[in-house]
Order: sequence, then structure tokens, then C-alpha cells
Amino acid sequence: MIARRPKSSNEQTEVVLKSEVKDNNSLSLDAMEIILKRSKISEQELSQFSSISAQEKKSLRILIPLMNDAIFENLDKNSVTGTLEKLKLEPVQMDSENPYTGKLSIIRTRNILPGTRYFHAQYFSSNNQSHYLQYISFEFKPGPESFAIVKEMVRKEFNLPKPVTENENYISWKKEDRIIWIKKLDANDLNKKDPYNSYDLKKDIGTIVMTVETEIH
Amino acid sequence: MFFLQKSLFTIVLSLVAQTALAGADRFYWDARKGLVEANTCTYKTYSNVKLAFVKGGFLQGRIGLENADGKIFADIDNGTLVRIISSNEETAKVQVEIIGGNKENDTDAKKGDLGFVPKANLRPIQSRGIKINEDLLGLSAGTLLVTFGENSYLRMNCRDFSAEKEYLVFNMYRPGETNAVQLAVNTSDTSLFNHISTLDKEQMYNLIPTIINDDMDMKTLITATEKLDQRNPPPANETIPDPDEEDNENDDHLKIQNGVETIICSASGSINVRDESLSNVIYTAQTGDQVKFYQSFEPQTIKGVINGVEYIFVKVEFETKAGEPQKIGYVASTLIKAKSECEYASSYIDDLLPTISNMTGLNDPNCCTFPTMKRVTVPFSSGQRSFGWARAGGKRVHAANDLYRFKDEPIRAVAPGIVIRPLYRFYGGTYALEVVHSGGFVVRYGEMTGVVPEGINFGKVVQMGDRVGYMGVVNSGCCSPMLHFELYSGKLKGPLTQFNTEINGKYYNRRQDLLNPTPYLLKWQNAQFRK
Repeated sequence: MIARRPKSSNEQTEVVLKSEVKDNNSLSLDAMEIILKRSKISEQELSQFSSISAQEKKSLRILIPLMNDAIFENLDKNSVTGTLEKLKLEPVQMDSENPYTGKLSIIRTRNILPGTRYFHAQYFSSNNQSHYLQYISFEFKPGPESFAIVKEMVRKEFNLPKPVTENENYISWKKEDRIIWIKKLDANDLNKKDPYNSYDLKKDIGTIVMTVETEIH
Repeated sequence: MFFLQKSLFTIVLSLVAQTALAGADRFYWDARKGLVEANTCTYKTYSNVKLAFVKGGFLQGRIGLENADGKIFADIDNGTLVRIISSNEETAKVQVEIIGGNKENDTDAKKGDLGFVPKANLRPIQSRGIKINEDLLGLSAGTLLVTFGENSYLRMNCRDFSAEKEYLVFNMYRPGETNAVQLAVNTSDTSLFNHISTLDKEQMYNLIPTIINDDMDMKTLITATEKLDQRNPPPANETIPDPDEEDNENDDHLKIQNGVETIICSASGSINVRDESLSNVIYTAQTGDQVKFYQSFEPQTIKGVINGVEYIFVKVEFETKAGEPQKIGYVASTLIKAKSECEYASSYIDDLLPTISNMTGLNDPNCCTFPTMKRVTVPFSSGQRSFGWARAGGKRVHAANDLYRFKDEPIRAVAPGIVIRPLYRFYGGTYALEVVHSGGFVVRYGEMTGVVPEGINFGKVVQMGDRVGYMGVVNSGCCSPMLHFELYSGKLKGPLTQFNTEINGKYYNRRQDLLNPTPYLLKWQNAQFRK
């Protein structure tokens, strides 16, 4: 059984595993509801963001807590992958292994939650070590309130202090040994040829990237 | 006699022009006078694309020049310089005049030819450089021209002009010189370009290493999704191959399933790539070709029936070279796999390292070269750039040397080696790549852009000086572009980032065979940039 550490006794913290549920069709809703219950932000608190649909808000209320748990609550790689499976996101693991610097596993998803895309998590490991989550991110659709809603939700969900850097298109915080940053992508960003994501150079202007990564520099 | 007089006239004018050149840094080109000093001219920028380069198709790098009926009457080679006459948004065709290019085949369009080309096949004037192949008034054969940014178009007024004229301004590099002066060329007077070659970024870099990449950055003056030359589409393979079809070839190698890339994976080797309608094959792709999924923000499924069988198609972007436009198509989803999951496309790295060079490691007299093209702009052995400098309020220290140069400049392998980890996401929107070098030491090249030099991938053998990436800059706006250079002896194995590991009483958050690169980099820098 893979479980994450409970934050408090009255919180629902277990992630339902595939092997524990017979009816595969019910998994998506179960997982969604469980994560939604963990979100520190209620649907009502997001009512000010009128241009974001209820479904898109729900997507954020699932992915952001999942990232928080993966990074700061030590939810392990299998549990993250298992949760993505339960959400019907079809996670795919891509491995790069060599005898010199160990193994890098990248988890991405083939499906998306509405309004979001390009989930990407990088885990490093070697033979005798557990996986270490170095980087995790996703993208949210462009829109007039997109940057604001992600910023607000991340700030609350991660319980973040004053930002380190903030301007109209970018904000970052430090927490423990991590950097959390959110960026609104402009045309130059889309042209940078990310090795993993493909972009429509016009339609995707304004896409929001939310990332948590090791302060490695 | 006429020729002698003409030659003397040319020489005199050339001397006059060169004398002027010695004291001036801005000129304009005049068909009769040659180079004319333009320091006292007034000018203002304007935005109007007049010249462009042709981007060839996938058929031998060429496209067709069409007449008004859409019939091709001549071929245009990749890199041909054209003047834009008019543009038709409905047909996405642009009327152009051929100015000059690289090849001179009989079937080629010639200077002065007018015709139409797809807008998608035009690239901004910033995308290439121009080499003058003849001696002209005040100019020598071998002179190189490259535009220097998005404000290259000027309206200029000089004392001997009757009215304002439109110019395109280049940085001009005379043969053997690496410092540029500015040369304005009237976009209606292209006599300067009668005999030219056009050069891509790589070729320009090789000739003038001091060119800052920003000079040649592709600007979004012309934006369009690439449309491929479809005059002779590749033969359509109308049956979508079964990716799990038995592969009869036995493989005796020890396979290390590897690769974080997503690739075309088919036992039959090649597959069809279709346009959005799914009814047209736009090109074929091969097993191992790297692709990226284009994911929409909304769930969507694109189904197509090929020969009575229904498939789900996905939109993918194929890998392209630096500076090239996107190459997008639709492929049956069953044919896209993680490289680590594709049994037809494994990579091998076993036993290659001892064979790639005689270099024995960091202390070998032939080791190594400096990883940037030129000397760093700020010393890397002091301040926050230095190894061991405090980070995170002193909780840890810097595990690298930061080598400051300019964004997008090439990063070079310091020694022969093998790429053991292709680009992965590193920090602040930048990427890192890991190479094990001859003798076994390991370098993490960090804070690079996401642009992958051609062929650089897992298992790729690189020689000393080969490009392994390009200099990036973090997205917080905090810092200059840099290469974050980490060095490991290679005595240990495992991930390079590790925690709670103390090295000489300090916390670097790195593997314990981390080395201070400073003395090595200083040695390589001094050897490389002695002059």
C-alpha cells in the first residue's frame, strides 16, 4: 500500500490505488473528489475569477494540491503516477539511465484536465536511492484572469511567504530548498524551443506555467 | 582601352571609399559611387519587410517559383535572397523578385525573375548572412553582411538625396576582420547583391565568431506555420503499420532502454504524416524521429479512417534545426512512444568511452578546451560566479563556476566524450545536459537554452569543441546569460544533485566527487584565448 503522510488526523490523505478498486470507471471521480477535499481553497473563494469555468477551477484545485503533496508532503513517485492514473490522465514514464549519473524518470500525461496541459515531473534516482523529485510543472490556458488565479491558488495552497520576485508576468517564491515560480509566456518564450512541449506560436501567447523546482543554481 | 579606363576608375573610387571607411563607421551603398559615408545622414526606423530569404522545402532544399496561374516555372534554392513585392493573405502567396542565391543551375530562377512563393517559405532577412563574392567599389570579395536586429529598416536622408529613401542596415565585416561597420542598402538598389552566397547561422559563426547571436536572431517579421513543398509528395503508405509487428532482426547488443524523448516508433521504419484534414500525406517520418505532442487545453480526440480502419490521430511537432520553423503534422497515436519504450530505437553507450580518444582525463596535457566561444565577460573565479560562493543565506554553497557570455552563444564540449543525459529541465526555465568525458570525468552543462544542436542526444559521441548546447538565461530576470559549469571526477556514480552530503565541510547539495572547476577553467581559458 502506498500512502502519503497524514497532515492531521481528520484529513483524508489516502490515495486510492488501482489494485484496491475493482470498478475502473469509478476511479477518476473517486480520485478527483479525494484531492478536491484536500484543497485549501474552496470553490467559493474563487468566485471572483468569473472568466474561468468551474471545470477549469476544479482542474487547478486538483493539480496544485497534487504538486504541493508531491514536493512538500513527500508523496512518492508511484503515488503521484497512481493518482494521475486515477484521474484518467494516462501518465507516461520516460527513463534516461546511464552508468555514470543514474536514472532520470520524466512523468508526463497523455490526457489533460480541462484548462491545463503538459504536466511534467522529473525524478532522479540511482540503484540504492529513492526517487527525488527535482522539478514539477503544468500549464494553464491563456486568459485575462489566468495568471491571477494560478498565483492566488498557489500562494494559498503552498502557504507561501512574500514573493522573491514579482511583476505582471512573473512571480517566484522560495520555500525550503525549492523555488516556486509562475510565468505568463510571451511570444519569445514560445519561440525558445522547449524540448518537451510544442506550442502554437500565436494561440499560446499568455499561457501560464506553474513550476516547483529545486533551487539548484 | 575602355576596360582599362573602367578599371582605373574603379580603383580610384575604391581608394576614395576605403579612405572614407577608415574614419567612418556608417555607410550606404550607391550603385555608382560604391560605399558612401553616412555618418551625417538622418534616419528613423520603420517597419516594413522588403527583403527575405527563401526557406527550401524537403525536396532537395528547393521550392518552386510560380507564375500567376500557380504553375511552377523555375526552382529556387534554399537561402535565395528575394525582394518582396506584394502579399496575398487569402492565398498565403507572396510575389517576389529574385535577387541572388547560392546555386546557378539551369532550372534555377535567375536574378530579376518575378514570381510567387508560399509565404511560409520566406524567412526574415535576419535569419541568414550574405557573403559578397566579387570586388566592388570600396568592397572586397569575401565581405560579410548580417542585419543587426529588428530595427534594421531605416528611412534615411542624406545631403545628396532629394528625398528620404528606405534602407536596410547590415553589419558589415570586411575579410579577415571581426569588427563590424554599418552598411545601409537601399531596398530598391540591390546591385550589391549581384554575386552573393547566403550563409546560415552556423556558417556565419564559423567565419566571424564574434557575431553575437542576437544579431541573427530570427525575428517574427514573417510568421507562418511551415507549409511544405508538395509538388512531389512522398509515396503514401496507406496502411498504418502495427507498432508491435514482429521485428525479425536479432540484436546481440546489450540494450539500455533509454531516452526521455517521444519518438516515432514503428517496426516498418517509415510512416505517413498527414495534414489536419488527415486526407493528405505531407511527408514521411522514420522510426526514431523525435516528436513533441501538441496538447490542447481542452480534451479532444481526432479520429480518421485509413483504408477502412479507424485510428486516433495526434498532432505532433517534429524536431527541427535551430532557427527553423515548426514542422507539424498528424500521426496515428499508436506510432508515438517514449523512446525508452520503443524497442526499435534503443541507444547504446556501453564500452564506447575508452575508444573515443586517447585523452586520459583532466590532467592529460591535451585536456581540454574552454566551453564558451570567447573569453567570459566577467571573471568566473570571484564573486557569486565562483565555486563555493554562499547560496541560500549560507545554507549551501555554489557548486559550479558561472561563465558569463551572451545568450544563445554556442556551448562547446570541453573534451571528447559521450552525452549521457540529453537536455532536461534545470532551473528558472533553462536546461542542463550531462557528458562523460574521456578519462571518466563528468560535466554538467547547465542553464542552457532548450535548443538542441543537431545530433546531440543520448549516446552521441562528441569531440572536443563540438557544440553541445547554447547559452541560456533564467526567467526571473535576476542574472546575466551564463553557462553553469559543474565538474565531477567520475569516481562516484549516481545523480549529480544530492542532499545532506558534506564536501570539505561545505554543503554543495551535489555528489561527493564534485570538483572545483576553477583551476581547470583558468588553464583552458588561458590556453584558448592567449592572444
